[in-house]
Amino acid sequence: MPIAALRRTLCAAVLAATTGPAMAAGGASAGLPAPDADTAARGHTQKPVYSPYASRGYPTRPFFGDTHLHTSFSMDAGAFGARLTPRDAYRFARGNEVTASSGQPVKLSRPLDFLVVADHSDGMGFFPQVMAGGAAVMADPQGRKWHDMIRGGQGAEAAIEIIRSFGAGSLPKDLVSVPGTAAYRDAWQATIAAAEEANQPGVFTAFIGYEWTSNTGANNLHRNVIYRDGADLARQLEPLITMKPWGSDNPADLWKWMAGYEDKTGGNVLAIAHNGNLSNGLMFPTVEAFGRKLDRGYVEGRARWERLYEVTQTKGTGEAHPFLSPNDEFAGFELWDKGNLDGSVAKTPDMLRYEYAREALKAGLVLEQKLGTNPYKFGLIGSSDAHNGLAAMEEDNFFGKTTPQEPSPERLTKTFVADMRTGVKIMDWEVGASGYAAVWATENTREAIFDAMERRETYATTGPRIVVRFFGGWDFTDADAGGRMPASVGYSKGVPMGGDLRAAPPGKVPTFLVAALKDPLGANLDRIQVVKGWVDAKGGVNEKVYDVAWGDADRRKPAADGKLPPVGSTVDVANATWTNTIGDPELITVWQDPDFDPRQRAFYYARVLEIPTPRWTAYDAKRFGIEPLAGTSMTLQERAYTAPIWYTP
Amino acid sequence: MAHRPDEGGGAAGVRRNLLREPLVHFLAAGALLFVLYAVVGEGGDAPEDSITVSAARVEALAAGFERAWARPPTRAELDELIDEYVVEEIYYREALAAGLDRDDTVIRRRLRQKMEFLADPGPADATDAELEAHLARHAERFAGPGRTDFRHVFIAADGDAAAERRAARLLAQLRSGQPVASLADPGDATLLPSAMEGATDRDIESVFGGEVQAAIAGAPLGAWQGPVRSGYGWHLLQVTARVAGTAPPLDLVRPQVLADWQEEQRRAAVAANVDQLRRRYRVTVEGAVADGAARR
Repeated sequence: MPIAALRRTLCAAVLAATTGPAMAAGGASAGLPAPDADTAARGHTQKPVYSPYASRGYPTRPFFGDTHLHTSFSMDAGAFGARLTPRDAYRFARGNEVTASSGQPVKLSRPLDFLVVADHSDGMGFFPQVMAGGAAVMADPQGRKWHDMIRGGQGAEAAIEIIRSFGAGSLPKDLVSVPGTAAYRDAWQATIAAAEEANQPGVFTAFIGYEWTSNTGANNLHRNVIYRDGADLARQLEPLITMKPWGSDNPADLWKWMAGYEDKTGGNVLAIAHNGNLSNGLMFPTVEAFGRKLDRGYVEGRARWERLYEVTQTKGTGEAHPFLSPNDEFAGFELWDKGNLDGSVAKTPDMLRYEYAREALKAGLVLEQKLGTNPYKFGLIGSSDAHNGLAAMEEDNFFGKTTPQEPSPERLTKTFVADMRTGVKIMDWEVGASGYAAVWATENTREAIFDAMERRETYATTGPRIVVRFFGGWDFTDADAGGRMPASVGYSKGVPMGGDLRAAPPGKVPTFLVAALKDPLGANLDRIQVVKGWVDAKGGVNEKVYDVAWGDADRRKPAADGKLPPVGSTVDVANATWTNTIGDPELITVWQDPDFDPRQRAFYYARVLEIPTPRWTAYDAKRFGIEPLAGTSMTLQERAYTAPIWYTP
Repeated sequence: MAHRPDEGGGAAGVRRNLLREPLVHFLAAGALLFVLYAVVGEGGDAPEDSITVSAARVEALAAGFERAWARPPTRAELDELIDEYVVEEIYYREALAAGLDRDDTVIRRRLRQKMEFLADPGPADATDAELEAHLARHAERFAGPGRTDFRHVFIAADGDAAAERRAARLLAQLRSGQPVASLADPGDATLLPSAMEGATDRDIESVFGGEVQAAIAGAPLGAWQGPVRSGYGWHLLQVTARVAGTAPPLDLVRPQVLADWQEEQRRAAVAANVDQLRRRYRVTVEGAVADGAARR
């Protein structure tokens, strides 16, 4: 727990501890006789609350948002043609219609509940300057060339050059707006102002944030930094960048910066690591990081500052990989496993285990045994990482990752990343319409959502707003799944997603109350699965995926080998339609671990699958009348991944 | 049409002193001669019109160059700038003479934009009294959302016709005044809440979807309504309380009220300007517009 959060908790505890005795002592010292127990009891009635809905102290609905959205203030986004500003991005997320940078009107099917505009801290506000042809830009030959290219309609080529040059660390020094310059201050202040303007407690939460874009060798180690605080604190310090000597590309230095911010301002920040699938084996180190052996400092820092992980986004999904989880038939979902961020280094299979969330959760258990702290004890969220100011991640309303990938007849067939040397090539159609972060907060405010993120009570969705409950405890029974208020039972008898199972009572096995409700506008549910990872007696790591509840249960039974038959498909690809005639709108069950060993560390998380639906590529093929390239994925099973619940002997 | 030499150079203040140098005047005159020679050509028609590149214009060109390059132009560069300017001026005049500006949507829009810009008084300061009055006049724009309390009985949609009949039966019992808790069949268990308190339209829609939200918005207070079909199943709904959104005090919404007031002032100024201009014209629309075309 970050110090400031700990401080808050302690304060609350101290207040709670002192209020009662202080009242009694005050009464006595005022000369009144001390009341006897019976009198006191009549004065302080503590009847159980009759109304089941009154003052429930737990979250009653998840808030959906995006923790990772870029606007024209991010230099690569701007270079790709984004014109929307942070202010536009918040307006759009709040449900307003805006005009996309490609000139098309766009609006979400329904508003989001929260948004973090997280523009790259390096070169923040760079692009508006290149566009405007500011003095510093035009004085630099490279800057002038890019300005001319963009003005001359070669924005995309300029974008690629800029990103490559940034990735290679060869961005001309004079061009980079760095903390301490007026240009940088302006960009940061404008970012803060946009969030302050859009933030409306109880209705919409606009977080202040930025992305720290460590990208050395194009190995993607980006982190999104999110503030619990308002402008008064956030503006006291400018964001950390990665370019030396102003900043650093080492995550450990980011944690130092975060601690410094909290010390200086008394505020609170957290960091969420970008999907590690483009880090080429660097996202989840187990031996050494940045030339230093993994030590207590690293694992404690990571555990303290990075309590959430971005498991799905437009650049692919990073929960599990078929190479690592050959027995998981749903592991191969929206994979980007060809190389690093720009394709300059191809992927090798030995990199994969350091890039995928499930492997990291497993590695974390081992590191905890060794070093006393689990650095990879994270909750899961999804976010967009869109670079056009538009958190539009619905399959039938997908506005792409970058401005050139906004809807057009070309995006089904164009190339996104290609490196001739390595042969790494990623097509636009491989970009995923994913995802969003779901947070079980008590109310829609910066404070409540941030605090829920800190306690990891979150889950990831690949776009749909599926509601998922997941509680772990020792005493859940089947009757708990039949009740009308699973959350009430869940919180009273167990811990929610992101928590730790309490100490194991002798002879008991972990039980889980898990439930899912389909998106009001979305598809029915195929199944709920529980994924378990554990360390065995020999120190080896293991995983198993259990089907625990499924739709059409009256006519759909597991085969003799325990395998549940597929739910089927109603998708008409040519017309981009489907029907909710298979699957169920809601699923709930109590599941208990059949293979529990109280001596072994373990984690459990839930994965919820929708029935198959058309992928955005199918809507594009239908609406633009375009023939997709061979091999294009046209359907998908959207899903949600909860934060795990951990068991520690 | 008379063409007046450009008086511009509004943004040219920077290097004024330097560019008042006789050298610059000399260069300008030289460039002009060069240009006239090039455009008119030897032995061609005598020039019918003249272009004077004013000292202020030369100054503006040089200053523009310097803003981009952080140094004054060399002599050759300035010659080129002036030449470019003269070519542009020639094209501009020729285009106007040829009427190329007339049916060009881009130009028409740009000119309209300029007119609107000129008519825009810019953001004005408002007094508290004006803002209070604006807030009172448009309370609904600044009001928080309305809030509703309602209860909900759910019937799963298994076997649709039977479920709908069951829902209708339950509805009749509820309407006859039986409390939910005493019903022999209290509906099906669901993850959807059996009641919401203080819910906004948006809250309801995000939890139940649009069908239920619309039914609740239209429901009278107290009476059970339904059954309403959603993606989840059938819903019986009873609105138990409803409060309209109320406008907050000015201090809480001052920036929004000020922005809205300024936008209103701006629109009013632009509209008044159009009205005034419109009085100079008699407008005749020829031919009837077909219904279909008008609708499109």
